[in-house]
Amino acid sequence: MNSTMTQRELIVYLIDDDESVLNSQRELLTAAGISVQPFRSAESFLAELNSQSAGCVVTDLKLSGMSGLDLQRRLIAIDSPLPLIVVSGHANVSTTVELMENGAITLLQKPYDAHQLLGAVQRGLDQFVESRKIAQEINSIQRRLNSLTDAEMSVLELMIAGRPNKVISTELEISMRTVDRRRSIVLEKMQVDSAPELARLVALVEATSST
Amino acid sequence: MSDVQYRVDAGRSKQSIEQTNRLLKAVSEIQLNFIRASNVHSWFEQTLQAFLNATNSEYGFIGTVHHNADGSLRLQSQVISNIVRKQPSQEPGESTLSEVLPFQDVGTLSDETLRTGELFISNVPDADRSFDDALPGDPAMAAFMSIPLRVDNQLVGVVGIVGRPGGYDADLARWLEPLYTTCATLIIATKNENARLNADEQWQVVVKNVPDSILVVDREGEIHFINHVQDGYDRQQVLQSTIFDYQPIEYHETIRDALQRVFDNGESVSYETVGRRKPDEWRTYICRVVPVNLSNGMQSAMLIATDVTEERAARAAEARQLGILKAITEGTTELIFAKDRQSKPVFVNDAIARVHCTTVEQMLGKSEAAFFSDSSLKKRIEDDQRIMRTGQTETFEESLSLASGERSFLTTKSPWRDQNGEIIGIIGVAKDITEWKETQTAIHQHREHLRAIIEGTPGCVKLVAQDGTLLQMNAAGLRMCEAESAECIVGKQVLDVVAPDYRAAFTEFHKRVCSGTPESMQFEIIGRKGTRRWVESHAVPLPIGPDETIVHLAITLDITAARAAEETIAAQQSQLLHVSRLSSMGQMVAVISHEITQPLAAIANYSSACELLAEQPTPDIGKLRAYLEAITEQSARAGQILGRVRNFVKHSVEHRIQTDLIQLAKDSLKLVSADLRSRQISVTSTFPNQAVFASVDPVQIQQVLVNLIANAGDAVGSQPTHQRKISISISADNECVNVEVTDSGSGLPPGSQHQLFDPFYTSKPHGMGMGLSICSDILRSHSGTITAENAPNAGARFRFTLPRSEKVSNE
Repeated sequence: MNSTMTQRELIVYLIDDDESVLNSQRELLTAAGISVQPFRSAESFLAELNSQSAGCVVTDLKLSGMSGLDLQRRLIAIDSPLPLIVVSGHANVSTTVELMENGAITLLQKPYDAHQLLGAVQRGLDQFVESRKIAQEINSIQRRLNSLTDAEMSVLELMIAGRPNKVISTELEISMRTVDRRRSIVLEKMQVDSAPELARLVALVEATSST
Repeated sequence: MSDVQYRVDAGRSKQSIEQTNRLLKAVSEIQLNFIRASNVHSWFEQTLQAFLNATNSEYGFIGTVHHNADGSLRLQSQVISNIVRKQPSQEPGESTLSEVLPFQDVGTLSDETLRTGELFISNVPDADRSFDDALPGDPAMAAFMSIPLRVDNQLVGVVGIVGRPGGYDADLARWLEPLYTTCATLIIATKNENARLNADEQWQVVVKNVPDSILVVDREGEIHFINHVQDGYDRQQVLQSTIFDYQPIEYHETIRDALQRVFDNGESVSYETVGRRKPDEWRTYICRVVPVNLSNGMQSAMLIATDVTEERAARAAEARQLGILKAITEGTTELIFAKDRQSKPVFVNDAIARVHCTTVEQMLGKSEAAFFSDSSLKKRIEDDQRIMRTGQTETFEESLSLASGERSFLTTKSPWRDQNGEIIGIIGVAKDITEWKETQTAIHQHREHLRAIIEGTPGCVKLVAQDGTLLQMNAAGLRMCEAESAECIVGKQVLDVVAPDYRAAFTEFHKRVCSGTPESMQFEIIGRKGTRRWVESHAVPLPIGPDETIVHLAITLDITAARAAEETIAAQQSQLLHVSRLSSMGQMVAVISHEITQPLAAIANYSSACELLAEQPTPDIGKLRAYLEAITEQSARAGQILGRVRNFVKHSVEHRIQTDLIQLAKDSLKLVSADLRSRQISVTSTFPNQAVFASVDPVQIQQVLVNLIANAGDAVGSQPTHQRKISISISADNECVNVEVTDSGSGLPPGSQHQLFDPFYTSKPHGMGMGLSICSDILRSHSGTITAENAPNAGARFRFTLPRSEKVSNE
């Protein structure tokens, strides 16, 4: 996958109530070859947001209306995958801590160096791409898991627990042959070559679904 | 008494003929003696002896009955046995002659008979109450009988006989009848004889002994009788003369007239005359002439001449004295009086009459009882009697209930003596001290109140002599000075208590007070136990004593707590001011920084965008230009923001009023005083006497003043304590008011004068550099100026000038 291509698909959502700042940011990112979509408020951005939205968000902390912090809370609540970069005149410590703990990419103090903003945007986009990749893989694994029958599922669970075929045969009260057969089917359906590999996929899904 | 005698007497119902004969013989001897004897007493003795002999009694008495004025009877002893009073310690019969005393208690022995008129016998007299009052040493009474002596049923006497061996009985009494009947009869006879004899005798005695001359004269004044003849005259000669021979011629008419009225009209007449007592001595007499009929039938007049010469002289002298006294005492407010020995007023002045609400005439001669209540009267008479007895002058205070009300007097009473030095009464002077006493009481009460107030007051009240000696101090003061008692501190130098730093100032203060100026001063004292206190002393000069020496009277209050509170408040105020200054500064900074970051951020973005564009092989020149324009635009915007801030400071609180800059300066000093005091910075101020008005926003100008003073404080803060000085002065001319704040610091850095008022210029480590810049803005907005320079004697001087108000307030 070409990273430039990816960035073309991705959009940086700029939010600032100061028009000149918003324009300057737009021009800067555009000059850097990044697609942007400017918004004068967090509310107007949220109105545009949908499941297809991809990229990251650069928002001023202090906005008329919903603040940058409120926006972060909102994005978490709706499980948005868009990483957040916050720009601020001056933020107090507690706000900063909350923003960072909630996974903001960074908090940029105005007036910031343009490279800092560009770097942060790049990290945000990378993170979005990475997280989208993981999500896609998990979706694929989940689909494969869903194709297993209950009998195959039972064998899978014992396989990832590291049981030998003999033990599986005894526990499930099926013949060794049947165990062998179902094991082959599971590996094939899950598109893996070994039991440890299978275990990694399942653990990935379980880790995601548990969060 | 022998037993034999007793047995013989026991058969007394049949008295022997011999005894009866002896009795009758005694009776006849008594009768004979009565006729012969001129001495009644010897007759009674004989009769008593006959009773004793006939009854073999030890002793007895005879008394005659007399009528008292109230009708009761009284027994008068006519004869009584001598008895021997026995001493309890002595054997019977061993008494000496000197112990012979008259028999006592005749009355009690005979009470029964006198009361009842009947025979009374008591053979166990010790048990009888009649003898209760026998005196110790009286002879024992073995037996007693009293016999009534009656004539025509009238009790005329009592015979009492005592100590018959074997006692008495009624038969014995009956046997004695001839004796007691005779006795009774003879008592009556004696009485009648006595009465006759007495009349003559008494008259003669009276006539002979009266000091008055009693004469019997006829119509012509011839003297027929005279009771006594004075020395120098011959009785015979006198009896051949007339009363006219002894009178000066000018009285003859009066006398003749008197005699005529006596003889013709039978009147009794009195007249006063001068008579010759001795051939060469004239006396004053009062003569009373009454008609008398002599036994020879001759019509006569009795003339009684009473010598009143001394009395007249005395009265004249007295009248003279009283006249002088009256003249002297008339119109005085003192009460002056003279009283006779019976406390009867003889002289009173009109002041006395006034307090009794009456007249002098009404008072004279009346008893004091008419003017005083019983209780005061009793005491007054006692006082008078005592003074007359001792002859000592006394002065005392008395409170009297008078017609004019309850009044107090200071009275001096002396014995009043006649020419011979005899005390004839009381003279006295009384001063009405009611008002004086009331005043005294009021003064006393006032003094007590004052004392209570002084003692009770929580402040220290003290008196300090001119030499600085503490004369007096109340309890609160002693507590303030931590003195256990007044002795520890009174009499010592008051300066000992004053904290050393304030002694010089206190000495000056004390001098000013003693020279007559009331003043107040705040200073510190150090108690005897070392406690430091801030006190405020309000002192006044107080002239005391006869020479009116001025001392320093001061009420001193402990203001430690108040001062601490004031300092706390001032510190809080100053802190508040500081905080508000900081916070407004902080707000301003926040506003500036937020506002300014926006264009700065935009500028940064555009310039980075330019850089990015410039890196392109074929930069889009149009965009590049657009970015640069945007940068310019944002720079301008940043400038505008700063301008707005400036404007905000300048015009934020425009509220101009006519303000007294002196008052404003004083208020400002107050705000920072606690801070300055804590840093031991002294402030001197020089202000015009009259208010200086300018039309300003007092809050802003105060901010300038506080800023300048605070800066000055900061400038001197690092100097040695005695060099930490700030002075503030205000001067005014017709157009301007100049305010100068000068410090004793190290002065302004060379060449800094022009930068001082620029924003963010500061010489302080933590300064913002906004203070003077804002001050400058404020003054500019008030059409004023501010300058800074180094003062001639080191330190910086800031001077600001404001246009003075044309309209000067009337206040």
